[in-house]
Amino acid sequence: MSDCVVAMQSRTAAERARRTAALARIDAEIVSIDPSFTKRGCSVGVKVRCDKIDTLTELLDKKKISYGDIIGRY
Amino acid sequence: MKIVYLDNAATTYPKPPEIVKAVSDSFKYVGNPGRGSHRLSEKASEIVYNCRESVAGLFSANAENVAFTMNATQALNYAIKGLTEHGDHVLIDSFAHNGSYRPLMSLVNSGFCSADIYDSRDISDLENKLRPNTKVIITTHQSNISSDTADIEKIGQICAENGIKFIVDASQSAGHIPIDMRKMNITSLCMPGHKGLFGPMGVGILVSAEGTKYKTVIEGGTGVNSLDTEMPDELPERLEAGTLPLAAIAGLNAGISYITKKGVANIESKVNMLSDRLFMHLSKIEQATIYGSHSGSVVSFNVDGILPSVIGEEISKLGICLRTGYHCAPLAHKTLGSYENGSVRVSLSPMNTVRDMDTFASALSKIITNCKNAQPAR
Repeated sequence: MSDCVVAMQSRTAAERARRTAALARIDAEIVSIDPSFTKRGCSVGVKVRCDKIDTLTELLDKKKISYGDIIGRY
Repeated sequence: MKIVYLDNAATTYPKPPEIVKAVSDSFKYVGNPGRGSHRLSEKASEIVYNCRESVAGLFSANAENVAFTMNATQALNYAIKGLTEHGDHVLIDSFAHNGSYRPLMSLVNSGFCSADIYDSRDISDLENKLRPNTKVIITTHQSNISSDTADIEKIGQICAENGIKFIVDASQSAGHIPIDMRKMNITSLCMPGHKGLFGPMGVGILVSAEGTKYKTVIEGGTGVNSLDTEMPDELPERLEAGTLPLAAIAGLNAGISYITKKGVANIESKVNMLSDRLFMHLSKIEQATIYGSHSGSVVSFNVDGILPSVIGEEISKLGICLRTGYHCAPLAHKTLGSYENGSVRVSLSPMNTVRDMDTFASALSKIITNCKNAQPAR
């Protein structure tokens, strides 16, 4: 199963997202995103298995944690 | 000689051993928090986020609204300069420390805003000074001279009713008096980490209400969106340009765990009990004038005919540490009537004991007697 990454607005938001995922028993890891993806320089994201990405984004929406692009098949 | 430390309003001492251990342990994770995704940086980031959560829990806030600064003064600068707009009228209380008074006066002196001083012991004085363009109220929760404590719940209510941003300087009260940001309608809560929260020096805290928008005071690297020329909009990164003081933050987190276990309300009771005993001793000294409130972590006084600096110097020789002078709060001394020479300040922490109060009283009596004997007979 390949991994997907949700781009986060900040390192703090990424940590919050990772902890939110952990509470839902989703394995998640904070990763650096290559600047070529975001065009805004250094960025961070939360990496999960692609089949968990919808659950994670639903949780983020519910908790009002803003996020950016979803980078698939990472 | 055994030291009796009564200068806790400057910084608390001693720090409980778990705080020292947390600081020391943090050097095992020397990565820069938020500046990479390697193991050591990740561990450092986790320590920082844990501390944000601890702070948020203590003051009813959200972790992402907890920003770390260098000290309380920096937090106050960020809040005052970040929230005040051109042409605003600002109210500041008459117990303000220079940490809030000087940043405000720098805005006033440059013609950016106007300001008035109100007496936070008298809510009607505050209400009478409100103007249609009053947009910010700054309140010292507890004075660093006298323990006079503002009713921040009431002031917060006035702010909420009038659409005013409410900045609270909790430098002396954080960790000593329970504070609920939501209930008290506080926009920005500013404090040092090294006083009542028992952290090390080098970290301050600015906790913000949800949705608070600040203009930035300093700009720099945040570890994300590095191609943008402006600071990110999101808190806390918007207020955290540059590397964070990881060791101090680790110690602060341990300090908050310590006071959470003790219970802030229990700490408040213990400190009040100690200050009652101190007041009992001081009230027996005929020549002593005690200023302001008599219950709380800070007690200030003067003794007729003896300069505060003389008492400070003499009592230090007896192993007692306290502070004399103006304590960076000239407005408070004006308010309390001690502006001429400042005062002698005794400031307590829950680590103090009844015996400390008695040792202090006995040393003070000795100094008064010695000074009297040293004066030429009339």
